Amino acid sequence: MATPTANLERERLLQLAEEYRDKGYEVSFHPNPEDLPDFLRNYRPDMIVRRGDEAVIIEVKSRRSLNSSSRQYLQNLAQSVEQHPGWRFELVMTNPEDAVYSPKAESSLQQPEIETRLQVARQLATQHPEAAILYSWSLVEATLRLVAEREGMSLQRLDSLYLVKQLVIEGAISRPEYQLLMDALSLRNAIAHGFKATQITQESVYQLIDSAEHLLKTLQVSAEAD
Amino acid sequence: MSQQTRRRERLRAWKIVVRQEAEKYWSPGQKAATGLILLQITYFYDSVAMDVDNIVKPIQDAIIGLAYIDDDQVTDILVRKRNLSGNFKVENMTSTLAEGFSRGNEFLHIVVIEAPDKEVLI
Repeated sequence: MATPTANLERERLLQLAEEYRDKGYEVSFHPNPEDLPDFLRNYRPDMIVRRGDEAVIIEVKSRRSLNSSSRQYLQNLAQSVEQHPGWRFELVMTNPEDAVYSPKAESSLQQPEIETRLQVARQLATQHPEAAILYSWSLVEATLRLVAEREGMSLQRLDSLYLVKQLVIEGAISRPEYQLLMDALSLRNAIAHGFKATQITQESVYQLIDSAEHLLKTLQVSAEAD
Repeated sequence: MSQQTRRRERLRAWKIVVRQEAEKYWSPGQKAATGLILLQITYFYDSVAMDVDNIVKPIQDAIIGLAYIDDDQVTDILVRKRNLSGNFKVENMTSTLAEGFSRGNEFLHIVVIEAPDKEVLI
């Protein structure tokens, strides 16, 4: 399944194509190397638009897709384009609303990684329930994204509240699971922002971990059924 | 050392950083502008931005003697901020700008150009 960010970039690209067509440009999506001029042979632009003598290379990126390899690509491409009159390079940044991506983030945790880390969170809960709930919540979020992916859901945003609500609305998680997650989220938020969370117990962390493990198990079952 | 003195020192250190960065990109043969100029500063920030009005003066001071002779040559200033996690378009990506994006963190892009027509305001 394409990631929400990839979908967003594609939608923006289609929208841009429409805008350029309306202005009389000829639009070419992901042109093949043989259709590119020599100086662009090593690149794979998202789109090239042309009108008369003007040619524009368009790349659509998001904060998330701007990783180290794509950044180097952009820099090299900008240098190549600068040396060719009549050509210009347009960078379009598009991001999901409310999503804040760290440039250091690579990709979401996968099932085996979550399972291993949940065991660490369980150990942590015995001594440090506050730290354990922060850690467990991050694993829950990664699990919920896997559930959404499994269900073929198209997520417009990636923040935790949206994620939990969207999953319950679409029936991917049960109402009791939703309630448990919402309670844990409010605890997690209090701790994350430096407030005292007196209600937190070892048991509340275990419930959250159990819930994540249950969701992972259902993922496993549905994968085996396919 | 008073807090005010510390702040002055930190500001001075910041100006040195700006100056050193500007010198890297200023081509060796290029002379300082002698006419009136437009200073364009774009702050590409990461999620949380400081106010743009606070960033102008130290930058303007830092490049005196490099980009222009004196800061009274600056007749026009365009300061903008754009969120790297937002939506915007760069219509003309230069390699310098691409290098900014390639750093993967927030960055400042500073351009010094000839001032626009002083007799017409739009």
